[in-house]
Amino acid sequence: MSFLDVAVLGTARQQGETPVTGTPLDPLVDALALPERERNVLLRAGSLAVYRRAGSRPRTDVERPAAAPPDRLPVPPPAAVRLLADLIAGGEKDLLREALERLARASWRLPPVLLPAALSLLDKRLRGAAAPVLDERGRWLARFRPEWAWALHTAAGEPGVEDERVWLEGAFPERVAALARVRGLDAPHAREWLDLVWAQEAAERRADLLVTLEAGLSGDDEVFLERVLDDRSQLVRAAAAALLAKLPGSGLGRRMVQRADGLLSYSAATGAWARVKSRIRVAPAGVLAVTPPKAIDKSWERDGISAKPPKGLGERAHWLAGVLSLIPPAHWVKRLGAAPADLVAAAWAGDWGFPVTLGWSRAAALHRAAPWAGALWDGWRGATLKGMQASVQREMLLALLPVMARQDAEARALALIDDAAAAAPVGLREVLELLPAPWSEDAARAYLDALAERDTLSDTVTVAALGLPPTCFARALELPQDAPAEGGASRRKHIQTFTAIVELRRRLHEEIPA
Amino acid sequence: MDLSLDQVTALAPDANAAAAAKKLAQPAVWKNLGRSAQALWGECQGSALYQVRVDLADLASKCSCPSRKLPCKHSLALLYLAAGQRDRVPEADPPGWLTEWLARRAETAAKKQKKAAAAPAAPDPAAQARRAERRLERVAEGLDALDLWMSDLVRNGLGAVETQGSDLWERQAARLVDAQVPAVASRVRRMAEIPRSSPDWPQRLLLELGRLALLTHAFRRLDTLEPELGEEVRQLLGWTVSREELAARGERVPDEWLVLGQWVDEDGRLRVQRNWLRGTATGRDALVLQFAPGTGPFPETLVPGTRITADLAFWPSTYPLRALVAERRGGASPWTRPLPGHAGVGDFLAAVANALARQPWVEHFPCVLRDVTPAVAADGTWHVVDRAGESLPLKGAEHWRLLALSGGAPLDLAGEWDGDRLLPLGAVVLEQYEVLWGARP
Repeated sequence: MSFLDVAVLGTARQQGETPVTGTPLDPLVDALALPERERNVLLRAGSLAVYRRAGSRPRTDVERPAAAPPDRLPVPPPAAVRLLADLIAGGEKDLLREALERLARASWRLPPVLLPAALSLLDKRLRGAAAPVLDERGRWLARFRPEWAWALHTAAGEPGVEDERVWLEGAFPERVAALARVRGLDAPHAREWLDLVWAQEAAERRADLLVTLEAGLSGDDEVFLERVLDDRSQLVRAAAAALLAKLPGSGLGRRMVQRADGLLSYSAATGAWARVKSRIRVAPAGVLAVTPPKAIDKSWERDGISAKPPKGLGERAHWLAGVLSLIPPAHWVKRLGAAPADLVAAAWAGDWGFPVTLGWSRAAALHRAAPWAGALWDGWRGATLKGMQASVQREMLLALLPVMARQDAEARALALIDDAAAAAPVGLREVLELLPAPWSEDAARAYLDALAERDTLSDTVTVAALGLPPTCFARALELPQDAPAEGGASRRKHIQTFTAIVELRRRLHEEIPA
Repeated sequence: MDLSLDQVTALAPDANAAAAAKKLAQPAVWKNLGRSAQALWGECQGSALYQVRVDLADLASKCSCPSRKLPCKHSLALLYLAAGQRDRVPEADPPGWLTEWLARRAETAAKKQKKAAAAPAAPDPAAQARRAERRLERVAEGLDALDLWMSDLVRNGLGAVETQGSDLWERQAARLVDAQVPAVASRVRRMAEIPRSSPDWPQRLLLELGRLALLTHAFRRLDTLEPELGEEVRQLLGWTVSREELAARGERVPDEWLVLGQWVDEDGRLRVQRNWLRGTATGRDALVLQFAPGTGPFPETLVPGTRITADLAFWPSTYPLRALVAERRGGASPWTRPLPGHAGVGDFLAAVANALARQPWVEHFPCVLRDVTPAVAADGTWHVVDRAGESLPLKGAEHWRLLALSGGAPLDLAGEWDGDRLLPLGAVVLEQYEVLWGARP
């Protein structure tokens, strides 16, 4: 039995000689001539402990990893590295994204010590911003963990064997990502891939996969999409219809116009007095006659308009809104011979205001019809609605803002600063979040004036700090830190948050030129 | 001196303080920021306007805010600003409240020096001798009892220990505390963790008991041991040399000391900061331990990756390691060269064997390896591999920063070896020191 095993049994049960270690220690311990057996064992064990510690041998079977290929981009200067370290460790996602984008434009890479944190980012947009600045070391490191696999296919290039493997065998989110990537590199190729697997995909998946075709959409896709209109799932048909509606000259587009042209007609108000009343907005400029469809046939359903209306909307209103939602609004300007503002005002003045403007609004969002977005927004703002219609109203206000031209959006957002209650059912912060960043100088200055005077803007400081244009940084940082009489500690905290973000952005723009 | 962000973060008492300080590290909330060769200063707008000062010689700080955490978030914020945005803290004439503070500090330091240099009042020698004798008696009795207890365990077999729970160890530890050998009591308490911890626990427990038996054996032969070893044994049992005595009479080694690495052990309400230093001229290794209650500051500010000019005073030992900073001159400067260390694992382990030959009870060793590459073995364990293909296992589950820094190429690594595993503390890559322990993942 080995020497240490005596530990388990105990010397009491030990017969014969005291066990020995079989090492050069034995004669040394024997020379002590200890009377007691247990003491003999203990000191022998103690010496063995030191002997082993001093004689430990290292492993020789651990292989070094293959070295990473040399990086192509330089690292940023130390000040920029410090800033990036701060932003990556914690803080606003949008700031980090801005930093990474600037880093990419400056053709710098992330320093190695920040790579694990960058690879551990979960947000899709942040990953997209980080991908170009990982360089060879980042991609090399990503191979070590499955959680970092997203970074492996970030080198630019042709659709490769790896993309195809992921498309055919990967988990669903990765498949969508691979398809989207290939769509960006070779649009018809991606559509062909989708066509090949179409029959085997489940309905919910099909709708998600169709969305990838929006990028690089062209007439080449029409044949496939028309076939998709025969799908059993209404969701899938609606998604295909939306894509077909965006293709100028598509069959679906023509069918929609044919169905809708008979439903609306417009007559401008006659007489000088009517024109004056419309100019001063006391009355609309004309009358919109609306005849919603009395019935629909299978071809409507095939083109994505469901027969059954959603709760809270009647059949005819639903079909009306449905057919209008796919037609580019510019069509109505030509056909009805009036400007968007006049048409919208006329619609609200009539009985079918809700479904007509709902259809036009969805169409404006689909076709990015900037001239219509402002008028439609104003129409929704002015309407008093309840229940389901009120939630649609909110949805439309949020959907139309990003479609507007910048000045129109900013003007409407700033108008809300003065009268937050009138913004309902949307909040000022939500509206500001939808403005394209960076804001224009005028909008920024108007906001800063308001922030200096009021206490009601506390929940908007973060989005504002992220949206300010660089030319306004200096002014923003001059905001007095001391609180005015009311507001006190909470106001100071918000101003501090505001200036902290602006200061970080200022440093960002200084350290990482782009 | 340029500190890195991580080095400033290492000075923070906890993560919340560091985060709060970063929020305040923006010029908009500061007035009258300035620096001189000796200090940094500024006024920070918080609930009131606070005056913040930092002495650059030893990074001590003072702020007029009421916080009990030191350094407070305002001082840390000033350091972040100075580190991250030098131009925002310009050279300027120091204000009165700063020069006053520096003057007071110099006065206090001078007084402390005088007190340390002055001979301590000689206590009554007869009473001292009686106390020492009594202590020796109690220790001898306590260790006799301990030996009997250990022999009993061995006689009955350690397997029986499994069913007895931690009481067995606690009772013996309490008796040892009464016998005035608290260090031995700690060893016994630590043994309570061995049963059931692995399949070979009885064998491991016998080895640990054996090491303790070596210590009691050495105690009985104290008079025959060489003086340094005798001192060492006394300290291992629980006799202490006070810091004052040490500063006055311990071996003094002046040198430029490189702070190789640092880690903080949070032991309940007491934090223990372990600093490994290496003398650049003498090649001596030192372990400087500092203690701080709760969120309080550590007495000396030691920043890993920097070099300080100081006299260290070593506790007497046949393998001197434990030391304190007796006198410090000048500030710290960053280290931008390869680390002074062993060329390979084999050399390092040979040095460990030599250390154990001189002092068999050493628990932790400073380890600096040049040109090693971090790697993950097939069994999932992390290692660093030297040029000869020999490796040491690392402590801790993951080391991604280290791997990223290496990129598969060799680097210099400083860490703490406990006989089993190496705890990485810092690395030098391309002439830059990176803090590994306690840095963000």
